[in-house]
Amino acid sequence: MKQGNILQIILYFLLFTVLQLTLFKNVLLLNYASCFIYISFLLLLPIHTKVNVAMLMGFGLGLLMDIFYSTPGINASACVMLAFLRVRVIRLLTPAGGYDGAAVISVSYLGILWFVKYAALLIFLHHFYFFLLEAWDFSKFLEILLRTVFSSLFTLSILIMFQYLIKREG
Amino acid sequence: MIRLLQFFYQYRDVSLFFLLQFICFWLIVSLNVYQTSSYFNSSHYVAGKINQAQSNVVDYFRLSSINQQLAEENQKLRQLLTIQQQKQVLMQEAKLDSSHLSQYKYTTAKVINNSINKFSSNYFTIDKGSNHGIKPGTGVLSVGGGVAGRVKSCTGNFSLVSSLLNENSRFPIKIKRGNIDGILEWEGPDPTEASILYIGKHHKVYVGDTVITSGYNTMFPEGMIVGKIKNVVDDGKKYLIQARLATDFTAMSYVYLVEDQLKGERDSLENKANKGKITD
Repeated sequence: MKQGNILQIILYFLLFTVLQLTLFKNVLLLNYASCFIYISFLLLLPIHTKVNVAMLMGFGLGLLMDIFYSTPGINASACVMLAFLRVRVIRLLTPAGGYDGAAVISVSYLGILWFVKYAALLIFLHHFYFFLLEAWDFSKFLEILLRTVFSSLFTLSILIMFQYLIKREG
Repeated sequence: MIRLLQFFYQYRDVSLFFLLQFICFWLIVSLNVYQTSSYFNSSHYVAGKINQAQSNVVDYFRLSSINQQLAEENQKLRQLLTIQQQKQVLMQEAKLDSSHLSQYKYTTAKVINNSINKFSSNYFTIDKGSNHGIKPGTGVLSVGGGVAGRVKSCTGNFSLVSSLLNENSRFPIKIKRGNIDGILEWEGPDPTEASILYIGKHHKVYVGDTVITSGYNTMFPEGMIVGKIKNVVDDGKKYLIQARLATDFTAMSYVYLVEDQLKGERDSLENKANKGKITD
C-alpha cells in the first residue's frame, strides 16, 4: 500500500461517515429509500486490500454506525458481509487484461460500466442483507425487496455522482 | 490440535468472517431485545453528546421553521389563555380543586436524535434525563400539541423515547365525535399515518373526525390531539381506519414532557381493585 493510498483511505473514512451521520441519517424518500453512503468506504478500498483487513474495517465501521443508529450488530454484520463478498465480486468481474498493479477502484480507472456493475451488485446484496436482518421476519419479504431496490438506487446514484465530482477535481 | 490450527489458518478468511458474524449476531440477539438498558443505544453518553452537537448545527439551518412552529404554538397558547381568563372570572366564587389544577406538569426538551425509517421500532433521543426529573413512562407531546410517544428509558442527561411509530406500542385513543374508544397502532412504513383498531361496527365514523387521547392511560391528559381520520373502509366484518398523525415525525425539534402528578395515587387505587382488595 502506498502512502497516498493510506491518506485516501483515511480521508474517505472521515468523509463518508460525516456525510452519513449529518446529511443522510434520517433521509427517507418515497417511504422506502434510505441512503447508506458510508459503505462507499468499503467499496472504494484499493483493489488488492486483503479480505480479512477489509472485514475488520467493515466490522469497526459498522459498529460505529450501530452506535448512532441504535441498531447493535446489524450495520456491523452487513458491513462484514459486504467486505467478504467484495473480493469475490472483484474476481468475478476481472477485465480481459487483468487489473493493474496499483489499481484503485474508481470510474476513471476502470470505466463507468465496470464500476456500475461492481457497485450495483454489492450495494444490492448489502442492502438486502441489511433489511432482512432489520426486519427479522420473512413475512415482510415484499417490503424488504421494495426497500432494497429503492435504497440501492438511491445509494448508487449518490456514489456515482460523488465519483464524477472527484474526477473533475482530480 | 496442530491440524485443527492448520485448518483454521488455511481457511483464515472464512474463519474470520464467521467469527465476526458470530459477534454481530450475538450483539443483535442479546442487545436488540433489551434496547432499553443497552450500552449501544443513542442515549449513551458519548453518542448523546455528539448527537447533541450535530443537532445544534442542523438546528441552525432549521431556525426559521422552528420559529414558525413556536409562533404557532404561542398563538394557540394565547388563545387558551384568554379562554382561561374568562373562565376564571366566571368561576371566581366556585372553589377549585387545587390538586386537579396542577395535575399535569410540563417540561420542555429538545430532540437531539430521531429515527423514522426503521421497520418496526422508531425511537428518538431528548436532552433531558433523570437529573431533570424525567421518569420512564412519561408522555411526550410535540410542539404542535400532538402526541409523540413515551419515555422508554433515562440516563442522567438524556432519555430514549419510543415514538408512536413503533409496532410494539398500542395506544388507547378516542374519536372525538361520539366518544368512541379505540386503539391506535402504527404498522408502517409511512411515518405520517397509523391505523385505528377495535372500533365497533355499530358506531358511525367519518373522514375528518378528530382523534384524541382517551385519558384511560395515565400518560396524557384527556383530549390531547393525536390526528385526523384520513379514510375509512368497511370490509364487511370491521372497519379499516387510517388516521393522519398530528405530529410531524420528520421534523421534530422541541417536545413537551407531561408528567401526571396524581399517577401514583390512581395506579395504586386501580391496582388494589385489580387484586380484589376493593369489593362491592
